[in-house]
Amino acid sequence: MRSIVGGTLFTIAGLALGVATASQMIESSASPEAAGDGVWRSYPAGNSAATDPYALSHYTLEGRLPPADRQTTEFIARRDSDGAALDGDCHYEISGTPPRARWWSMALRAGGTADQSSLISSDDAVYGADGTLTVSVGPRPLPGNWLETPLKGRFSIVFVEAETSLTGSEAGPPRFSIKRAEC
Amino acid sequence: MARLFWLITAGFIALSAHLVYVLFVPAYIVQRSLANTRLGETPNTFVILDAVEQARLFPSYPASSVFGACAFDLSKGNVALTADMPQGPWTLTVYSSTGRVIYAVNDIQTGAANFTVSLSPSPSLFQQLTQAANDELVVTTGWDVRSDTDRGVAVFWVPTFDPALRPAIAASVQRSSCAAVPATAAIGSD
Repeated sequence: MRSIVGGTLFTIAGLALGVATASQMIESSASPEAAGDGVWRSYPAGNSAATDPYALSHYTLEGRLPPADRQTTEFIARRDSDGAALDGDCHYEISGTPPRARWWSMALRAGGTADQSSLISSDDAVYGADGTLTVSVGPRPLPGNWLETPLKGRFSIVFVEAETSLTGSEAGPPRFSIKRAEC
Repeated sequence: MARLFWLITAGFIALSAHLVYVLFVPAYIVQRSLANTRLGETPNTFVILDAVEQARLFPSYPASSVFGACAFDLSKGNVALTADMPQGPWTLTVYSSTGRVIYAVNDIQTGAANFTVSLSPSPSLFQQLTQAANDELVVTTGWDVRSDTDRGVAVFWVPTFDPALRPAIAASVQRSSCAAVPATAAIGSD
């Protein structure tokens, strides 16, 4: 009886350890970007010749297809520039110079889901006179570029950009900082 | 001794769970995701994804974008993907059935809005050794993409941020097609 209980516990522990290390490796496959206060991360899954199975799992575990390497890049920010998790009850200001991409889009995603709420893009964003971009994020409407936070709880900001050149290496990561304004 | 046995067993279970979670679970989920769209119903047919299908497979992209896709099946021969794309930025990405990117190209790299991509299975090692003469069979209509899996999906994406423009762009992309190539046509080169 004792060995059955012990064996069951070891089996459960093994399963938990395997899944936990896999989840950790998937998260570790992200490339942290130094630009924009280091809050943006990307998961380059690579192409057929050199696919990173962990980065690929970041997308496919959600049942979605990854962006093609050197065509489009998806960046995600889950924390503000001070390191605090993004909170749906708070207002934030995203500011900086947009990357030199052919186009880009910025959207919010509710925590733990792939569902998006509002979105702005390079086509409909309002830029400053010096070419900088400021986006207000929060539950209540604000003038200028505004993204409505999804309900309550945590959320993330997703930035998708298309590369500018044949080789796909010029656009670079978003250089936006994310500052909490009020809660 | 019994504890050592269970520790080693737990280690093997952990390694197996790790590999299954990274290699097989994601592949299964994405295959389910593809099967739950019209792509899972009719292989080798070009369709414009509707809003629900688009949100399921490409949730990070603007909802007003246009996605045209073809789930290909190379088990019975090659598949020809004929593109008729509008002016402006677009990308073509060919995925394996597990979501791995096999091939990708955009409008700048192609320099053409109308072209054909021939999808064919990668030759096996034996075929590579014995059929060197087949290198002369050049596809004359565009690109030849070799897939190491029989099934997959080719996706055209046109970014459109104005929902009012979506119907016109979707109608343009809809002119693209995807069809199995008869075996004789795939081999014939005269």
